[in-house]
Amino acid sequence: MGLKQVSAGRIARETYKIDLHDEDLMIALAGNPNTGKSTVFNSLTGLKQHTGNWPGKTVTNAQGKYVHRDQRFVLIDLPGTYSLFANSVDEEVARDFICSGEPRVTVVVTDATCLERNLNLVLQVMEITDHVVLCVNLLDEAKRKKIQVDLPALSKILGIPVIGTNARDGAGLEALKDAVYQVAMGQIQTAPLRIRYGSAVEECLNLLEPIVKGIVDKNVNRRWVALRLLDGDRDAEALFTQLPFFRIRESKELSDALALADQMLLEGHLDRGSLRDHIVTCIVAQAEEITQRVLRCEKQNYNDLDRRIDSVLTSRIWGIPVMMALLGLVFWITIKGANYPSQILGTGLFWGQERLTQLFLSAGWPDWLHGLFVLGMYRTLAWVISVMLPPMAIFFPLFTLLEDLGYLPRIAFNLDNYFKKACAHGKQALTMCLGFGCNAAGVISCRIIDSPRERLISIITNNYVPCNGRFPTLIALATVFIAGELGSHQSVIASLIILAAIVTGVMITLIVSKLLSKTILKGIPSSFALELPPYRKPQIGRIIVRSLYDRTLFVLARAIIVAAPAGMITWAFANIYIGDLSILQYGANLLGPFGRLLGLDGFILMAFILGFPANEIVIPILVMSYMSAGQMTELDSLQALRELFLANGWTWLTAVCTMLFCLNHYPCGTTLLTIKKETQSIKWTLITFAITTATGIILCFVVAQSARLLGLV
Amino acid sequence: MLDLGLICGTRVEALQKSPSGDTVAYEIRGAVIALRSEEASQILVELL
Repeated sequence: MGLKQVSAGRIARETYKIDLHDEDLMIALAGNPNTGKSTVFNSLTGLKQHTGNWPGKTVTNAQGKYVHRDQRFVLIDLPGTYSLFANSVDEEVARDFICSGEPRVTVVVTDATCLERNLNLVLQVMEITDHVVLCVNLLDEAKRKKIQVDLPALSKILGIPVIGTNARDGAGLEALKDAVYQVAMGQIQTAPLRIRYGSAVEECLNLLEPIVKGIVDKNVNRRWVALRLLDGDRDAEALFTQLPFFRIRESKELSDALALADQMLLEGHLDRGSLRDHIVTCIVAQAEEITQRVLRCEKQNYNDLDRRIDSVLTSRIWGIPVMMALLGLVFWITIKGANYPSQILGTGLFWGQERLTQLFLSAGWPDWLHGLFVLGMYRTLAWVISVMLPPMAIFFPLFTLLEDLGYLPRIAFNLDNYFKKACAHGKQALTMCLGFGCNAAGVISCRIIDSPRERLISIITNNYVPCNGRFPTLIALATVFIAGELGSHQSVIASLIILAAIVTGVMITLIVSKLLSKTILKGIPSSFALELPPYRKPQIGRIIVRSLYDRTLFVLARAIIVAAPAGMITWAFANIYIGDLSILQYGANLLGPFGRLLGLDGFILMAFILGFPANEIVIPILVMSYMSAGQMTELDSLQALRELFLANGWTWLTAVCTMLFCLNHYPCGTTLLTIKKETQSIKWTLITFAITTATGIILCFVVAQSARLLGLV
Repeated sequence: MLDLGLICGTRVEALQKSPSGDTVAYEIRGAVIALRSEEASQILVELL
């Protein structure tokens, strides 16, 4: 042929950075978003990829390994897509990967409760490759809705193995592994159903297929290539850039045949403009026809319950109040529940500090060593653990519960028009939800937005959602300072304050998005469709394990890694004197006047600057700066914190401004690095830094000065 | 749109308008899809 054969696995290794050994068989996992694809992936490979009940979780290729019947398999989790027409980056990635010809088998995961639409993708995958296994997942949900799928009939119609699974409890996975093994080893010969596109198109395909055979260098389905040539860009060079993984030789024969095909299409009342619609219509009609043959619903309105829930959760009157109430409830449970364990942890850890001090004293180690390790490192760690761990261990499972139920897309739906008015993408609300956990994760999740302009807006504004690193700061300040001032019902008032902080954050997000859309990121919102997935029964056990293991411990570990050195550095800064003043005091004095303009003080600003690596350590640094500046109290309760702050001249205004600045300042180091990576641009990273910080400075300045002018403090 | 299975002759049911207005949730082939008015207005419908 004169064309170079691409060696097996090379694309996978080089383009997708897949860790592939020669004896490994590569399996691709495709499917619509939100069909439990990630759960299937996790169950097969034992990896703990985070799953959630909203579309677009798999934002990047994930790979995992498993062994079945002594054969090693590498499983690649492709992004969830509705089709393979390459309308989005995700679709392009999925299609390119499948048609690279390298996956030995492609498993398509489908949702049994929504089979018809899912079959669209199945039919399209079957056009590219013969080696397909269909996994009909979520059978328990289907059963609950009294939907029955005739799997053997479906398998017969499609000509490929069809396996029913319920990946969440592992049912059917062995059968799935068997089927994959058999197809991969050629023990099962598949005979995929071919979609018929009507006589005009079929004649064109008959004309093109033999020509394609001579000029394509890979074992890709020739009918599919012919269809793409007919449908897409005609010249082979363009197709090559579209489909990077195989080569089509320029040939006069091909261009002649394509010209002839155009004629034939016209005779069939089709032209290039209407051909795509015609093709999709044929696929959808085929899916519809198959569904009618294999699906039986005992109940006509099997989605009634979902509709009824939605009619409250997304209703015009109740939608937003219920959303607020739910969030408020989550915060209240977090604050109320975290109070007691925090105290116990605090008491225990500070008891430990005394023992350590005794140890250092009795061993006769120098003071500076004691200061650095016990007063600096240990105390910061103790604070981070006792104040951060309990709220996180409560907040994350609750939030994951909402995610698992399928509530997050409803939040996006409820707020969509506000985002539209801000010229932003509707899915931005989803990325903000992820920002609650960690802004770096939120920034990565912005990949679900295809339009580069709207993606940048989401990335820049993601930091206005307080991540878990800033939650404890907000909770501590709200509880001890503002709610404490008012006496009773502390946790209720604190919850309301946090809720107000979130609403402020959302409003700032909308305003900044709008401003960006009108200035440096001009444009109108791109089109999109947001799927509101069916509500699903949450898996309580998994939620707890997942949210504690994946999120809580992960975040805590990161906080500890950062807090340990930061605690030592801060102690050193606070205790190394130049002349009469410590380094910390020099800094604080320098920043003091500016801080006071913003309703803060020099130490608070120093704490935010030193807290750049991770927001979690802002309060511990602040506490240390205050304590080293004089009062050596034992800080074992939130009440003590309040007294320490009061002694350093705090008022309610200082607390409000600190909370506002906490909500609106530069993203932490990790998030900035992520932004740099995602935008591939130092410019946008710096712009994000500048915009978020400016927001905080302006906001604090306005609030502090207004309060002072009005004589409120 | 076509990806959602929205082809000529598909039955669509409008379910719910978003509390913030404009966006409407539709039932299309068993799935609930929210569309903004810009997109929805490009679909010709006939009352059943």
